[in-house]
Amino acid sequence: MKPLAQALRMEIKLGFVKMARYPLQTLTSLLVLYVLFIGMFYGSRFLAGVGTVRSADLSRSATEAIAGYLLWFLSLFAIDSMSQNIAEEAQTGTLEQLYLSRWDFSLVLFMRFVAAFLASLAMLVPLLFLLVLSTGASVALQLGKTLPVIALTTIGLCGMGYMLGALTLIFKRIGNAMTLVQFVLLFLCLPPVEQLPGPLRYFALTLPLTQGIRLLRSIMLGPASRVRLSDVYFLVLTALVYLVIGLLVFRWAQATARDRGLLGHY
Amino acid sequence: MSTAISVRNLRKEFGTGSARTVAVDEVTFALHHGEILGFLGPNGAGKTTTIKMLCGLIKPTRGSIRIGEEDVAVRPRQAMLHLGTVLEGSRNTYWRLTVTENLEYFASCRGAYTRDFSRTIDRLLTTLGLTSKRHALVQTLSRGMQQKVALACALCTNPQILLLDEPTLGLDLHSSIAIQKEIRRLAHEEGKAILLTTHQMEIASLSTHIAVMDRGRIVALDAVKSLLGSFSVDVYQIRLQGTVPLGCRIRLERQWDAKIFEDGLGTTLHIPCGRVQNLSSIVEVLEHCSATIVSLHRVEPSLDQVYLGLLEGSRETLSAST
Repeated sequence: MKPLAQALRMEIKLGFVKMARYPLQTLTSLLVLYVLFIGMFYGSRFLAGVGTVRSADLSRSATEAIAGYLLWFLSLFAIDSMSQNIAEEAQTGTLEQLYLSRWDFSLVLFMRFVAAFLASLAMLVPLLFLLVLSTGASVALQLGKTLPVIALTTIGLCGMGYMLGALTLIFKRIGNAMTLVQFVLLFLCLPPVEQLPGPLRYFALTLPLTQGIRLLRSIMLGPASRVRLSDVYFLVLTALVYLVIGLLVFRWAQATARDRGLLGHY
Repeated sequence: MSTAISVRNLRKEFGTGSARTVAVDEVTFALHHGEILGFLGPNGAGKTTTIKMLCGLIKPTRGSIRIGEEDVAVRPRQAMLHLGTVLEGSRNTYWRLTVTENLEYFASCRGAYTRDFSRTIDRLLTTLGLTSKRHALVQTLSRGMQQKVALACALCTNPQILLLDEPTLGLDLHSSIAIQKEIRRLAHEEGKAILLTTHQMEIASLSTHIAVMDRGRIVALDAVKSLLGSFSVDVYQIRLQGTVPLGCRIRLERQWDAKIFEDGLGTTLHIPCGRVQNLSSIVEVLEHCSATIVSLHRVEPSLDQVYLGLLEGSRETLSAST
């Protein structure tokens, strides 16, 4: 096996080993995500006074909500794998060792990102099952379409992860900024963009998650819903722009951290 | 012996303007295979910054670093492949993974994981006495064992150069001795070039060469024997049974400028070598006074004395020049 493939395999293996070694933590995460969704979904329905809504409409809105929520959940893991990883490595004192690796650190982080993405996909399956069961949503999985959309969205998120990783390298503790990003993604990407007020709508469209969620909703609602090709192009464009900018920002942060002696243990 | 590390005019400044600090100032040295170079110096002397520049973790303001044949500024990744490191204050390993998983991970990270890597693991664990702990989570091991795991990880790719920053800091005596033994074996039997920083003189005494750093500069760099020789305190120490009669004491003090210490069990004389033209004349005087000589030897300076002497000397020179 080629060294790079071997390194990726090892990252994936250890990602799953850590998950399996702390089953309570994994199960608790799953439970929190489930409770959060159920709380938001039924809570918003109750507050909006739509208790008399037709069951077909309820199923449609549940499908839309699940599609958005799952992608948001993936984004949490994806972004977390970059910045939280750097912070954790710096705190535990292994960051320096990763910088001595054969590959550029941005590539090591990308491998971590892939490992975290696959581990979160493994958690996503039972979560999806639970959500569908609880809400009575009808979900057309269409893996041939969903997976490319998820993959493309994740590339954009990877770019955002690099940007937050860059902040972590320089400022070390960015917990509050991370929370802010998570909420921005949650509140701007989850609701239908058309319902957002003017400037926010355009801002939401530039976020790496929005287009992915829109497409995923269309796909999961089944064949009756049409996927526009222009939306796919826009998703590809957003993903690439985020990835390129993310990498550039990360490289700048690395050079700055090297110059200021910020790389490593704190 | 071939050169493992070559550093020339290395300098690192942090900050700009009035906030500018020079952490490392015109540091030049070379380390050869089979040698252990001990970096000594007080806190903030620039030892760790120098090591981090060698590892590519800090970018030098100027100067050059060559690791093997590679220039760190030009081909950093290739240069790093020659290195194994255990850095100070860092845990260097993943505590939530087992010993074997750590070794496999770091080997794959450095592109050195092969199908028969289990043999390398067996060899390393046997050498470091970790065989029975191979499936233990690192977090469950003692501090000494964890440090051995960190050393094993640094060695898993069989690097020819080791950078050890405070390798025995916080270890108990037993673990410290085990690590010292291994460091000596790696240099003398495997021909590895080892650069270590420490505050502990017993660790520094492992070194074949010593570099003393103070305020970012190397104030002394030489083979340990030469440094010890240059700091000879030139005193004969004579241990006597019982006390010395008054007449004899006066003669010893006047004629040889002897310092006399009585401790209840016996008497110790310190006589400057420069005052002694013929050692036998002192012995004759002592025999004449019926004093029984227990031991007689020339006092050798300790590494602590040499280190403190060098630091003091450099600071005096610095204050005189300013």
